[in-house]
Amino acid sequence: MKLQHLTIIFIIIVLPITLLLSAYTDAQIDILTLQNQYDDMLLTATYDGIKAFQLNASYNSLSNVSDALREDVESAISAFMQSLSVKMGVGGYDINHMKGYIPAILFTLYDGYYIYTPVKTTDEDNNTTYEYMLKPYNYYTVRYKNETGTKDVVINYTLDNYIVVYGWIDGQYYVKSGYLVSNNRSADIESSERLYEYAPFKYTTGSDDITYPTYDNIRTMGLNPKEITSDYYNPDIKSTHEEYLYPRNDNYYVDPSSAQKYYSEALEFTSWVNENLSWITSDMAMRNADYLYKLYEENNDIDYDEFTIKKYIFRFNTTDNNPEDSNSIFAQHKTAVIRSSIQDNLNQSISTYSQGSASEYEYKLPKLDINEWNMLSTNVCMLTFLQGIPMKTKYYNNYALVQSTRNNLYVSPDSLYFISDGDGDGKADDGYYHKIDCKYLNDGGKITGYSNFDFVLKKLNLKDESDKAYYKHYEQACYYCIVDSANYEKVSWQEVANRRKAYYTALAREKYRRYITTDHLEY
Amino acid sequence: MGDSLITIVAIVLAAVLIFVFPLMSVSERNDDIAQLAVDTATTEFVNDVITTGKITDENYDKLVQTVTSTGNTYDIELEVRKLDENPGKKSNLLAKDKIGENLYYSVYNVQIEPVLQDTGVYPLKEGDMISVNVKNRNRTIAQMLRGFFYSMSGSDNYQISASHSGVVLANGN
Repeated sequence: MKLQHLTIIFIIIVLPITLLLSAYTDAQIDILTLQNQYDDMLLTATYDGIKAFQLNASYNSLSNVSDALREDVESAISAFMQSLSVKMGVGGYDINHMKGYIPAILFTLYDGYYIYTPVKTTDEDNNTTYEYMLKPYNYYTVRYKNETGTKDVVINYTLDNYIVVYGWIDGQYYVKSGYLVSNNRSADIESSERLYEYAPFKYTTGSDDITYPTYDNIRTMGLNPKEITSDYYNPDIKSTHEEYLYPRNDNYYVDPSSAQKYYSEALEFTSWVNENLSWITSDMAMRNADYLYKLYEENNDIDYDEFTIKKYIFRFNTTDNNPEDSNSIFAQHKTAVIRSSIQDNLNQSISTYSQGSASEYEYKLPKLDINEWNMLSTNVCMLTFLQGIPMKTKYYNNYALVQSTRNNLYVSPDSLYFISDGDGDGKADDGYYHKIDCKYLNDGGKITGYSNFDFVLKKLNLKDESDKAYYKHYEQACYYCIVDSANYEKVSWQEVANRRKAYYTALAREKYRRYITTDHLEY
Repeated sequence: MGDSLITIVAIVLAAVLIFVFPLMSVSERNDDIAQLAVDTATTEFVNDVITTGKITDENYDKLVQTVTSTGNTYDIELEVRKLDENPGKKSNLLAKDKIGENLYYSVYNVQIEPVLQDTGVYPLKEGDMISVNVKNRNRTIAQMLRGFFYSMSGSDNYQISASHSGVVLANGN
């Protein structure tokens, strides 16, 4: 055989192999690139959703009331949908097409969560369709019952140390709610605080105009922040003053002894819990009429050994059970309860959707890792799922979890900012707000903490008028500890009495001020 | 005479086809796979940074290791754009539908790497932006072979490159 023939035979053999291999690699590359793109889109769209939620919450002074919250969650979800479909290149009417790939969206709030998912609906002609809607609000609830059945209570947990208890204990029906604390910090609490913020105000006589604390107005009119803890603005004291805060004084007024009341009420509630709920162990947790440990035993779910080990959740006299600490028995149990409730509900929603879906793809709840569960049980979060988009040989399946860092539903210890005021005018002397452990926070002045939510832009939506925007505090973010914290070295604030006091007072007051939706259970 | 000329041509052709063509093809595939690895590593790195709010020594090392394990050397350019909302507070808010005027200022590898070496963590905050650019610095075999047959103009030709960016979603400390 001639050499030329050999060459040709070689080419005939090698060429198809190379072509096929290259096509295969190209396809794999395309799939991975596409997957990366989808991951990105999903993450940024979820962030847009959370951003929309935060913006709505900051412009709405009633946004912590549950009905207003439903609207905020719905608009967050619609922002997510819009953002995702525009990113995918299917804007406008095709948004419904996109929805088919989203089996569920979870929105966790302070004391419960919403699931947005297609729900099976039947119309009058018996046509079954799946319609997307926000399912009813689920509280982080679990039931505990002892073996003899003499004690049977339901407990609503929240993202922090607040709980609501209702049910029968030895023949008596109780409804109680409050914060759980095990350390009495009254030595570190300011008994009478003075808080200041800029607020729109109106004179009671004369012109009907509202004065807004805009940057310009403050300079030209020499406005000062109002002392919102002053009796002057207390709506309970009916006296005539020449001005009131707009829209209503009671949106602004803060009880000067809020922090102290927080601790005294919390200690009282905690001692009641110690007395009446110390019988509760983690293995008594039930959903409806089934013990959780039995449910998970049947399913061989190893993630729930929390419910099989006998631990006393509401005994706070031990060192490993400080309810304010995220590693305590109470907090661990709470995380497990929140997780089991969310996981079971999501699982159900997604598998119901899968059964009714026309797609060949089987929708399933992906496994979240422990860090993600911790995130979900410690802050307001949005968790979105995107599944079943065909990508050549595979299907896309991923989820995105984004935490909200600024909202008025929940105060986390790192969401407090502090100002140091030496001359008592309610403004920071240096013009900046800091973190508690920043070395530029002046210990010499009076240190007051505010929620980070108070430093963002506020808007007033008024009827027949254009929106007005202002800040409650015109201090700027410290460049060293907030704007660019790369070279930030923390100082040990626990040792400085002034800072310790400011910190615990602010945390307690902010918690006391929260509007708590489960309050209605107490009657 | 004519026959032996053809034989020589055939031998040269065969040599090219037998050695160079597969070599080129394989090295091109190799670069594709390297490209894929670099792309994925960069995306993973950026997504990790934006969800946790910090650049850690560990993550950065992982990125460096993954990309260099492809057998090439790379330039990794980090850029963090820090959000500064302070100027917005002083604006007059004449347009009421505008949310302040925010500024960004950038830091690069030279600022980020020393902090990573000292403390192991470079904290970011919500609203900052990070972008990462990875390019190969050496010439890959595919580039060399290609250069042998046809040359491409420009000195900064790179074969493998990945870039990714995102807005930071969480506060890092």
